Amino acid sequence: MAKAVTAVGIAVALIIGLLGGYFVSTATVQQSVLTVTSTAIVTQVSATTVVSTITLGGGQVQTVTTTATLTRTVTAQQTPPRTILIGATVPKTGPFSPIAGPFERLYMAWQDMVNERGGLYVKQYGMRLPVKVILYDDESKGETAARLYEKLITEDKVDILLGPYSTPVTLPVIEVVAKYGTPIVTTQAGAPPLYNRGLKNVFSAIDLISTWSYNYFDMIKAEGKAKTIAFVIQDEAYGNGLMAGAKPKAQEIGLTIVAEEKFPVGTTDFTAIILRLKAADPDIVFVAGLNPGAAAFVKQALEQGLRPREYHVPQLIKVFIETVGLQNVNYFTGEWFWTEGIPYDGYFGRDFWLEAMKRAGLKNEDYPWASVTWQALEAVSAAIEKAESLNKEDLIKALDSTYIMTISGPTHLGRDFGPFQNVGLIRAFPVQIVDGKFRVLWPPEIRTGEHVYPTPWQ
Amino acid sequence: MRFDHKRMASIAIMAAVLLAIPLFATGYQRSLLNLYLLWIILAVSFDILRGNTGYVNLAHAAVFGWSSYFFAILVKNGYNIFASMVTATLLSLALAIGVGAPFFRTRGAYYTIITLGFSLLSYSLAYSLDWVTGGWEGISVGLGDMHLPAFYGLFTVTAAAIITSHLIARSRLGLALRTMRENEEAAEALGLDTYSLKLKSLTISSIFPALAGPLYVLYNSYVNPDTVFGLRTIFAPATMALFGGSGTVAGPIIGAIIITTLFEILFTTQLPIRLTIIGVILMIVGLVMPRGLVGIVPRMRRRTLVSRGLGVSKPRLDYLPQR
Amino acid sequence: MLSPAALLELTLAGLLLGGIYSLLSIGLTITFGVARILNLAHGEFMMLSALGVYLFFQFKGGAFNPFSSLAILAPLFFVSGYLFEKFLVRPLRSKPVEVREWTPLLVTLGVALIIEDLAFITVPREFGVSYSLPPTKVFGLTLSTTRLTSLALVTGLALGLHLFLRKTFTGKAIRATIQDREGALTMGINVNRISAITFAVGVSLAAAAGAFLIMIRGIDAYVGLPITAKAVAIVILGGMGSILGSLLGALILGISEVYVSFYSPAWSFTVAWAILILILLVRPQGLLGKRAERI
Repeated sequence: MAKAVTAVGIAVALIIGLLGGYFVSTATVQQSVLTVTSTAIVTQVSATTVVSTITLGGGQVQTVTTTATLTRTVTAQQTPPRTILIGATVPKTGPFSPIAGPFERLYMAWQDMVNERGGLYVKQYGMRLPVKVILYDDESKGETAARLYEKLITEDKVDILLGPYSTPVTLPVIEVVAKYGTPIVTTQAGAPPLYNRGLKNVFSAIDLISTWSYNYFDMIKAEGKAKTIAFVIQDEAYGNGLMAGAKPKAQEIGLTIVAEEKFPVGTTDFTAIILRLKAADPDIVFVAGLNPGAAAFVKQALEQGLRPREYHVPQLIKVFIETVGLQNVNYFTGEWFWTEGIPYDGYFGRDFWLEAMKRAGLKNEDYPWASVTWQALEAVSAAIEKAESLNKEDLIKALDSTYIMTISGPTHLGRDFGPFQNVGLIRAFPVQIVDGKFRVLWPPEIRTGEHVYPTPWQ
Repeated sequence: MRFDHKRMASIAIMAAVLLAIPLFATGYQRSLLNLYLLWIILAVSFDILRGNTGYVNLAHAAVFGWSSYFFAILVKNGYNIFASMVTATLLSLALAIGVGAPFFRTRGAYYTIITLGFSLLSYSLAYSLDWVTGGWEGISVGLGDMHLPAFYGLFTVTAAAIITSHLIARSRLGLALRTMRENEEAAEALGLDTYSLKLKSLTISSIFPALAGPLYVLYNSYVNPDTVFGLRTIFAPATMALFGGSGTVAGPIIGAIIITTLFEILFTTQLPIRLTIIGVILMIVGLVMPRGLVGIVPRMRRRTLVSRGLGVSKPRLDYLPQR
Repeated sequence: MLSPAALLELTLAGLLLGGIYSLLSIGLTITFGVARILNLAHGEFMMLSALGVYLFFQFKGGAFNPFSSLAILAPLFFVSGYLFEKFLVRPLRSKPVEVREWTPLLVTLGVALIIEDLAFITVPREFGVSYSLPPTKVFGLTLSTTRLTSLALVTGLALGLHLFLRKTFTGKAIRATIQDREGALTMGINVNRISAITFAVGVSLAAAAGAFLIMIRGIDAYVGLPITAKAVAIVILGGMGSILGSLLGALILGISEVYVSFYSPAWSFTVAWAILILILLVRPQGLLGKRAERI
């Protein structure tokens, strides 16, 4: 048994590795408090009230009154007692990095801009406190994210969390968050399994993924023109999630489903599916999938002459238009959470949001999911400014009763919807691209243009 | 090296310290420790096959993956945790041998590819058989805070793997394996049953990932195709073992620790060029340190398997062919 | 359910998909053949070429279509392949035997990762190119012109390569080197130069594949490795070092992928991999490979 030296070497290496990792990890978090000096400003407490009506499912109408309160005095030369810590991960590497990796810059822009105006107001201290966002790279993997969130909670001791990109990555994170009870507002994760477990500390600013297309279908129903629909689904979280709600909704409004085609991620040839669709001749072809799959499918479908009365591609984003061609996507409809035409003033105001995107160097058409992250930030900010303190319990209570106006419309975070808890109200808006310009189609209050249907093919 | 009372005592103290650490650690640190142990297990057991026989088995991590899935499925359906662990381990081991045996009809790079194909096929299957495996959604097993029990389980398996690797290297079986590695035809001419040798080392090598699977699910509470059958998981044991020094006992351990630490550091900093760093390190090791990190230490170099057969430690000449 | 017309369309689609795969895998198999090194960065050249086509397409609002871009990029990649062999592959060959099996894997993997990161910094999102030709209508079938062109080009390239390898001296030298490097050396062939030329050709083929691929689907900086994995599988399936084998393997995989996806898209990849494993179990050296050789 001569390998005692080896055993010792192993133990030493293990210890060094662990200590090294520990030191590095704690060294990256500066617990020092930012000193924000500000001159004496006395602002009167004035409230701006916004009343809007939302039509919920089943025809119920709810009036939401949101109040934005300007905070009061900030006295001169005061050092804030602590910094508000907000934790999240972004996929800086891995397959999701082209979609959400650059959101890091958005988080940082938000942090800097909020701190420029003094931070967020916290009742517990009766003043504004600076914010600090701690971000890690989850590599687009749930397992990594789970570990990093555990780090954010147990070592960085954040006050509140924002979720990572996508449901598959968020699912394991929920396990961790459930263990510690830290409040979390998910970002781009709308799948049902996250919200039907009775977890009091998990919130979403946006609605369940199955409802995202409801606005589109409401419009189709109101118009009463389309009769048949074909679904083309990419077999992944997004596609399946949309379908779960889109299919029953389509049936509910009286559309006949003439085809339902599912294809795996990475498919390069869609001839088989297109052949069947051509035989079925649907009015609407609903392409439920992320890119590049959606783009590849549509491109081939157009080449092979599939011409329905409308192509509905929720992911009508830059890479899609680039791949299929601007001249080829005329009159296509899509679904966006936010676009230039949407008039709502968010929690910080519309200009604040636009400025943040500018600072982050992001364009909405390149990164359409950025607005969802922003809405989560708005929700978090509102909760912090409303809560009695920065304790878990008080933050959760505040989130539960947060009704605010976001850049995409009003939302109520603590909303219970059937077996699901704490899902917000925001759903995607149907948009249409006409001659290179986008127009918002529904709901009527914010419509910016007519819906051209059927597509006038040449 | 003598294995006397002093050495035993120091090992015992070291072990006691290691076992006590997680009691004082935060949740994150515990999960990190578990991660280290997991990769050490996979790298060391991978090298039991590769270090001795030269066969690069890229289906090694797939055994671990299937074991995790079997366990998760059983637990999700209400079976007792302990029984599920045992079943999952046995099932995945059977799978490893049943599928791995015919793979030995190929050699060298072909073997590597066919095992890679199996791992990729596993990914596909886990994805497609969604009514059993949960598809892309995976399986969530909410068992509460199992970091500590998982740690002790993993620690035991790690110790077992390291000891086994060491024992084999010094045994008759190890010598036979290395003979076969040098020249398979010559070994057969000497009367060695190469097929049964390969099968034995495959079995021993596969026991550990089979054991580790359920433990992983225990502390991670979640399994999906990307985490256990992803490209990174498939290539990691090989990369770690080769990086640290294949053919030694310590090599894979050091490789596993360093690469895991590297990744953890990279996630928690804001550098834009993470992959590049890993890429550069891989290149440096490949170009400059062909025997892995262990090869740099002259003292350890003598213990690498390549030189082992050449007279540094006494070859066991009493091993006679059976014919 | 499957009319003869539909069957024909599907077969054509499968052949065309196989065509793109074959460009990639032939390139890989000849580079493996001469250097006995599996280049894991092969797929990255494909991605870089796609990136190049994209950047050219953006320039001056679509002035450069993918074909003309390829004409400009191909010589660039030819040179890159040559340099790649000279400065990266050759030093790897001079390593001791027991490490030569896997060291190149680590090193080329490292190169691949670096290339991916740099590409991501250049374009940190998915990108695509909308160039497409109007479909061809023949015998009542609607076929994709870009695919037909790609098939035509692939066939042309394959034929050209075949003639090159059979008729020219350099071509014969390459074949000789693939068959037996030492033997070729004794015959007076400048094995180093031949290797470099082979890599140049192989990388150019990958570049061509990239140009065709981006016409079909969007790309991002990380598509390289999964594509390389597929190419490696095809190379093994066809027999390492056998060009005809790679072509055959690519076509088999392409066709099976398309046919299976007609019945059940979800299973197309699973079946493809299963076929691969089965074939290798029955014929461990690949379809047209030589008997089990050690590297």
